[in-house]
Amino acid sequence: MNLKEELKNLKTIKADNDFKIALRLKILEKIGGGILMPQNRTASVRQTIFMKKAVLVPIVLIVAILGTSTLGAYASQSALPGDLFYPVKLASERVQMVLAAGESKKAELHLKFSKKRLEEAEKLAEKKITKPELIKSAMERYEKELSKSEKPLSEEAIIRRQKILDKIEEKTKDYNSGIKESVKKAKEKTKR
Amino acid sequence: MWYNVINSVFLRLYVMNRDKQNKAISDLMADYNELVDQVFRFVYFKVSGKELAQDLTQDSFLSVLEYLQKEEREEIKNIRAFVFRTARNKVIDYYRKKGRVIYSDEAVLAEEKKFTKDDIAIKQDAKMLIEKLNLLGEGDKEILTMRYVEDLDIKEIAQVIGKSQVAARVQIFRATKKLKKLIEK
Repeated sequence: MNLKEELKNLKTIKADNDFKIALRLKILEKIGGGILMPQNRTASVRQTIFMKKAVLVPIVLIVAILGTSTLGAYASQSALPGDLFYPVKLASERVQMVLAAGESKKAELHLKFSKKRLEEAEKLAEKKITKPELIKSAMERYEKELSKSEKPLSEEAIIRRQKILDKIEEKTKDYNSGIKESVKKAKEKTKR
Repeated sequence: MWYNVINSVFLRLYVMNRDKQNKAISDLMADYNELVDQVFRFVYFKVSGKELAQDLTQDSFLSVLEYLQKEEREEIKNIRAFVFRTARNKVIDYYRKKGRVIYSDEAVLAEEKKFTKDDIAIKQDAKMLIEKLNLLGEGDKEILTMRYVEDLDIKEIAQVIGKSQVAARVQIFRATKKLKKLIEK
């Protein structure tokens, strides 16, 4: 075999599939955000409004179509981080945020969404098998929304938050020991 | 299946509303799986483990996306070359933060590059080849992997390393010669 062919054989080295799926989700989530909230608003106000409308119309239609189907309802209501429809849920929330007129309405929505994020984190923490990273990222989103709502944490929220943080710690330990166990089993299998 | 539907819906929205931005993002996602593997390998040959390579690959893709989403930016003619160039800069930044310098003519970081990675199943022949590659200078190694493992053309390679096409071609020729010598030893 010549050198070039040997080098081509190195193509068998690949990234983990889980990694590729997780990264794709992150990208999709960011694409969803980018459509509605361009980072550098250098265009004139008129252009921006036109762009928002042009983007919003198809999104609203899609959300409306998805919302009427059972699957869509599930996607927009009960999807949790890591679910296939979760990016759609976040996108529909962003639509609401853009449509909200005035700072107080936006702050109200941020508070509403922060409650949703907290509930999602709780649901994830209750699941038997959950990647601790998912709960952590749900908590990060919760804190982000809460900070935008400019409301202080209620006593009840502090307790709920602490419970979830405890669960994350617990799940991380379980998850790590689960991985160790799987590695051990895999090694035993290869020995046989 | 639904995942792909959502993916294509978002991409279609881009095509409808932001032509320039859309094209680059569509290109990025069109061969996503292949491109991720290519960038991952490119980084993996430069750093010491799978996890780190995946982290840097992720950083590269997210940085590229962030750039593509900017309202005012230069047009990206070749997204693959752009992603590779970003990944290359991420690796340089990583080593810079660690207080190391790469891209000298010598095979630097030899102690880290010694092929002891067992985090990915690699055939023995391939392992030996990677060990030989690691004996080359960083520039020679990366140019050979881009050309012969990832099939980048000369124009793309020149864009990634920021040199002329002639210079890239000459470097590939010399690096191939060096690797052959190392293998024959």
